[in-house]
Amino acid sequence: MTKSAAAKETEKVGSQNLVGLFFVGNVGDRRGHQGHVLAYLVNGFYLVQFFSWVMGDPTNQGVVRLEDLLQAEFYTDHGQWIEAGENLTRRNMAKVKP
Amino acid sequence: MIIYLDTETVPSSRLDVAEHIAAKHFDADDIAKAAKKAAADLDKTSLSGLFGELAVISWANGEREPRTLVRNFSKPDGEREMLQAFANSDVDGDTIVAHNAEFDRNMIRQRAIVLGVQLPDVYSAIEVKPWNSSWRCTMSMWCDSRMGRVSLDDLCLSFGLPGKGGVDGSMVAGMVRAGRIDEVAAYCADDVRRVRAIYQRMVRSPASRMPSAGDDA
Repeated sequence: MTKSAAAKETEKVGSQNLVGLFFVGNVGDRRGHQGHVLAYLVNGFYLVQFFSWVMGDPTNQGVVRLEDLLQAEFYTDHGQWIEAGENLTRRNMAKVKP
Repeated sequence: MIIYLDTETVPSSRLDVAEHIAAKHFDADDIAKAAKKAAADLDKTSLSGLFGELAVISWANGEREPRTLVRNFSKPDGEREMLQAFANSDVDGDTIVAHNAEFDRNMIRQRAIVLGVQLPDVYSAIEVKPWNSSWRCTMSMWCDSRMGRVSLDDLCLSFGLPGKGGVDGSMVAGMVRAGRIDEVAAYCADDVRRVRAIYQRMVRSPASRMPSAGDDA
């Protein structure tokens, strides 16, 4: 099945250009995640790489809905993303301190 | 009563299905290629009732104007509600006519099984055979073979009927995501009109030896 340019265009509406962005925050039911948007699949689904809060190393890849992904904060700059993640960790740590 | 029918479908909206398909193609060394393959497979789910979902159903009883049911995509149960409304409507005909009827018949039948909707018998029959079927497929009728293929748009062009205006089934998912569901519904209803016109042209043609509507002998 060959998709026309119009079909491709309409499919991208509202979901374009998140690919390559870094994010911090809630993704659907998953609270407080940090990750990198790897690719757009179709039908509003994205392939993402999640990262550990502790060491910052990649953990697992997953598929998320556009609607769920938009709850997070996005960063184009890697340094700003790291800083945002560290700030969120500090805030969360402060909440659990007695 | 003859019923002319068409459905429009979209790929699975289930996260677990998307994860299942993405996992099949996972390749840490080539994410772009893996994502491309997963996207293609996910897109193809709209072609069967296993994971694909119904977006619009339109049908016409005889010469009446088509009735169209549109799924409410903002409700998690929207597809089941639409299919239940279809089952509760005047859709129990002697003959069901569709273009590529096997697709529409199986889509409705399979989604009804998945969603737990009770359909009239004519939609839930399995192992449908040409010689005992209430279903008529304009594609098979034209090709005189269950294997042959011809598009509805090409038949319209050949018969001098208005064509599809640049829209086809592969565009439906994108249109739905873009909030153009009303256009999809109008397109689906127009397809019902086109199928009716083509069917009537074929069965009424002096050159045709095709069985008349309701003649299953």
